[in-house]
Amino acid sequence: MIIRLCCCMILCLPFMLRAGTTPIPIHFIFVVGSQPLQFDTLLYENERHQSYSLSMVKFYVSAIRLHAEGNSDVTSEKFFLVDASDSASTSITLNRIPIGTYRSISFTLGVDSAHNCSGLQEGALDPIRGMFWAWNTGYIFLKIEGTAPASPSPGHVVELHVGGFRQPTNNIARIELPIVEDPVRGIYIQVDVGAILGSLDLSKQFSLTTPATASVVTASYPSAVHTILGSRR
Amino acid sequence: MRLPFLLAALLTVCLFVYATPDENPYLRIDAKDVALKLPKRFGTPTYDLRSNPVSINGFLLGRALFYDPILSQDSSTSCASCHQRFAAFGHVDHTLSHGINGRIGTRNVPAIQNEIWNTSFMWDGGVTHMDLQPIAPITNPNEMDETLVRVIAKLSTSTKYKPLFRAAFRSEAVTTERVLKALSQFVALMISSDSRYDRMLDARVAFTEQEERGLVSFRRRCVTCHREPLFTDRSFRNNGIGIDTALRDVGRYAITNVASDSFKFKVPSLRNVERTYPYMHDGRFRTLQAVLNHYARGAYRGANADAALRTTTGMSGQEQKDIIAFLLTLTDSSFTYDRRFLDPNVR
Repeated sequence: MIIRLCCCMILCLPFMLRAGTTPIPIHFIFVVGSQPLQFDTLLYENERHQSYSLSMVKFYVSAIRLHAEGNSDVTSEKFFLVDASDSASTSITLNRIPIGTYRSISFTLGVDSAHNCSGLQEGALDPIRGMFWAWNTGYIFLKIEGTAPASPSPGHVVELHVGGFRQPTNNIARIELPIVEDPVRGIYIQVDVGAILGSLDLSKQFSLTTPATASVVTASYPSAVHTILGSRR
Repeated sequence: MRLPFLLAALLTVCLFVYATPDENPYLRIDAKDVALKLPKRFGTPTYDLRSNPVSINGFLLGRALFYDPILSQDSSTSCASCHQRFAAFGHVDHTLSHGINGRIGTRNVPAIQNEIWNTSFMWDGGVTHMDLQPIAPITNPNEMDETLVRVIAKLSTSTKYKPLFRAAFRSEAVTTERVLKALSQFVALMISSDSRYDRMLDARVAFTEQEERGLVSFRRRCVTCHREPLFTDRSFRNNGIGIDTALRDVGRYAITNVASDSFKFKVPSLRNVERTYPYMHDGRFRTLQAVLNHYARGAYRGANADAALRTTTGMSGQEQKDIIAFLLTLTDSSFTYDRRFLDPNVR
């Protein structure tokens, strides 16, 4: 892998040295453990041998930053709502990125407190998108919904709604991942939903929909979100 | 022959124009009606009026929406169902909020007045911006139980709203932002600042002896939390009434998850308090006398009952009556009978 990476770097070197900009695509790839994510049809199993199916995986990505080797970092101020069921939303393109060497990418999984507090927002943050708590004003950063026979709720529903930007339960997560191949070819970020539901006890943790109860979900991000090689998809 | 015919035609046109509701001078809204008159003593509004300046057509759209049950799931319940003009936009004589299909919520309907000076909304302060406030009752299952997606879809296909949106925002497009900003323009004008108390401050009327005694007692006993001139310090406090064992409402704690916020609720304004009964977050007291009894008794329940309650303990019967006499001076009939806020569908 390292050799491949070096080859890649060497091959790309002439392009990188040339002044100018390039678009950089970011692709989110959804899996559940070793299986691809399929809504409603597949039954998955968590570490407690509780089976579950998924019907929704959505989250906000914002403040994307590319950390450069040598020159300065590049930041995007845009908000993106990534919805695993909508392929148009799972690929984000950062335009006009200065050509250079980038060692890592970081982003906020969630919405910063300023945008939670400053009233009406448009576009990806329009409350009509359903990622908004009306009773405790603020954005739902991540929504995972499905069903599990172990869930005692009507319809055996499982709902994970992660939000909350105030202390003591601030669920805004900053994630930094290494860039493992030339970013011009695309940055592939794998989201393993299985790692998020993996350690939950779905007979008790079937409805995590307040800032305090959902922080257990935020804690699972490091094991769930990784960069992968595009060819490994 | 021709002249009488022309005259008759002219008369018919005149009558028709006169009968058109908007031409009724009492109901017509003109630029003067939507000009914000900000009372100096209230200070600078918290709400950024430059981000959403009030216009005639924005106000008219907001008013149409406020009074329209189309915002609820089964088109039965409007904002005005629970926010009544004559009750300073509270829900008179209703302990808890009501919703579609006879559903009942968990808290007493708060009044809507002087909201552009407010810093957070709802009894627990869970809503942080005036523009976002209407989303809560629209989507609450116990209230209007509707989704924003469906609200936008219904309004987009309504022939009634096309011209209203075009007039207010220069195009027919219905967006969340436009709906909420129009409602904010309507609510922004709900300013109550012409009570007997305000007129007394402006030396336009004099208080009676009892009202004067009530004001002195109020300033000694109550003003820590009910700060003049808005009669709230906008803080969250546990006023010692104890938990309602059926509702088990933890108040501010549900928002902050901070233990010391348990059973704290927002200090409500006392303006128009005569008309906003019943009282407290769960509407448990039906009369002002019952409220005063509670504060005078001094037997406060709950570990974090507010320290300021010490100042209300031990009020005499006479003092309570005087304070009530003063509270009645906060009734503002210019506000509760303001023709601008009349239901536009009832003409």
